[in-house]
Amino acid sequence: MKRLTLLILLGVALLGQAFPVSVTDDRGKEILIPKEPNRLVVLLPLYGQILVDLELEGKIVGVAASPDNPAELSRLPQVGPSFAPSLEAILALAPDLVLGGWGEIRERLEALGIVVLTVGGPEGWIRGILDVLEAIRAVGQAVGAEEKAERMIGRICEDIVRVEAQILGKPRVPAAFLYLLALDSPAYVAGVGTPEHELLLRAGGENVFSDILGYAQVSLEELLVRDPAVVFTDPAQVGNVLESPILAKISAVKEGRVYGLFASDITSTRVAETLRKLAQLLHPEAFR
Amino acid sequence: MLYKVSPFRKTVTHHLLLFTLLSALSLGSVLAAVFLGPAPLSFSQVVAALLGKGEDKARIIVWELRFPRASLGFLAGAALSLSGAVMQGVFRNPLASPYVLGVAAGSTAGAAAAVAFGPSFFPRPMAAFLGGICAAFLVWKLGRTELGLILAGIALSSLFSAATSFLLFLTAGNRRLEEILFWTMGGLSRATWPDVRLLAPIVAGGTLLLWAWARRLDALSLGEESARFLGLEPRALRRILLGGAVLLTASTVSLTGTIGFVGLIVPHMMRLVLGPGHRKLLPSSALAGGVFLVWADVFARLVLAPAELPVGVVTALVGVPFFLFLLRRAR
Repeated sequence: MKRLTLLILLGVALLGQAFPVSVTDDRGKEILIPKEPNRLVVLLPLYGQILVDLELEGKIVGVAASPDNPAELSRLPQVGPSFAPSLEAILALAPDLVLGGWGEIRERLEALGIVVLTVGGPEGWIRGILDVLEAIRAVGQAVGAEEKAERMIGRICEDIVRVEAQILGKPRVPAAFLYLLALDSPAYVAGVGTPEHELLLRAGGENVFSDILGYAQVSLEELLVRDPAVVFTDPAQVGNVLESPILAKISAVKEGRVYGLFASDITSTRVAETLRKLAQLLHPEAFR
Repeated sequence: MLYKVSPFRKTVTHHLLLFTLLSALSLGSVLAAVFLGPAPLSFSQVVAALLGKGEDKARIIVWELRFPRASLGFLAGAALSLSGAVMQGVFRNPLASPYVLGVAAGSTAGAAAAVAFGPSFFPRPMAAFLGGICAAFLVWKLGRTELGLILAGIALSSLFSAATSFLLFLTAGNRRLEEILFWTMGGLSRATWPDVRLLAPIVAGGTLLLWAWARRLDALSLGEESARFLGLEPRALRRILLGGAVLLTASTVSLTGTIGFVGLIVPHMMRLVLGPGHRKLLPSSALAGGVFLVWADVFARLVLAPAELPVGVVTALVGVPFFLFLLRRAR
């Protein structure tokens, strides 16, 4: 019995010293992290959020500016905007791991011998809940917080199943994710393959634009034809949807069912809460 | 008067002085740009890094980022304003820029097509270069006269821009979009030594070739009639001069994307200072264009650091008022 305990302890000790670890990135490439990283630079908001949730924000030495960054990171040195970070500013911080780098910047950083880890769809694009979970797992492995990350994933999955159970069997509500930057600008909608689409389906809705692949610009006329009963949009754009003289004719606007949701809460570690919010808005009667 | 300096001697010393000054300014600017950047490196840190000493971080920033970037900026500025000067001379049109023959729109469309459909191993700069050359070749085949060439250039530029917009539309909702946008905005942020090694001989060779033809460009810019009268064949002459300018522009754009205003404004500035003779105008435009773009890029890197402005914004914001000032003074 004593020997068994010893063996388990040894195993735990070995597991604890997991480095070097190897994590598969969005390109299917094995990224080798030689030792526990302590100087992280974060280039996409989701990765910053994951680190904050893992209570490891102390390891971050720099962050790319984005309105979606968690507030905890606002005092850290910035390395330029998230859509175009500065290579020089990143290098000046001497990071031992860069999270969420993509495109040209990633190639340059790797050529200079800096380890970059990005997961999800091509170039780190987050396509849905699974990509969020994969990002949590990858970051957990990369920074030596695998167990905590797994627990986080378990919690999110459990919350998602709870929401889904609550609306099981309810008739699907026709809905749309609609982005309207200004009253007179074209409307963009989310179709199949977007995180918005997945959330709509899981929350008991039916995406009226499920014949569209990805995000697409549609005419307001098309919205009249599809007539969603509920519309989700960015909180800053709710007014645009409500005030549009054309959209006034669709059911969602007539019945006042236009709701704002931050995109940063969708591709986020808070995705389960966002799903719950969505389900409550689509099926208020199920949550009474 | 006791000493009468011959006008010939005077101009020679004048030229020598001017070119020594511009060359020194060029070297000095590239070197100064290596000391300036968003990373807080002290003067002595940069000096140590330049000598190959000091910490790794500073060495990488100085040798792998700032130095190739400043060098590429100089070469790109030189190539663009040289070919701008040639285009303005050949077309006898002050509005001509390096992009009159559709090179910019063609390269952008080429790069966009490679990003949208091309296999990942196909180098984007190669696609951009081919697109630029193709566009210029089509324009050359379609336009007979000077005006015809300019109109064909405008028409095909619009066509290629439309093709780019279509490709942008197809790749919407995808990070690849931003790679295409790079070519439409232009910038030096991806500069590497291999880029510099590629562009340097092209710019050097192009400058020498075009310089050697400067006198004939003078004749051509007086009009086809006068050129013919001087025993030159205008169409053949135009082909060589435009060919050289297009080659310079397309190589540059394929590495840096489309950077505006340098090729339009710098030759005009030099013309206001030095007069229209191309023997002086071409090399001085090249040097001044290089210096101008190096400083524009320093500005672009520092103003909102660590964010970087697109360098085309700086070339326009700084270049246009200065140009207007020169224009007013000249009148």
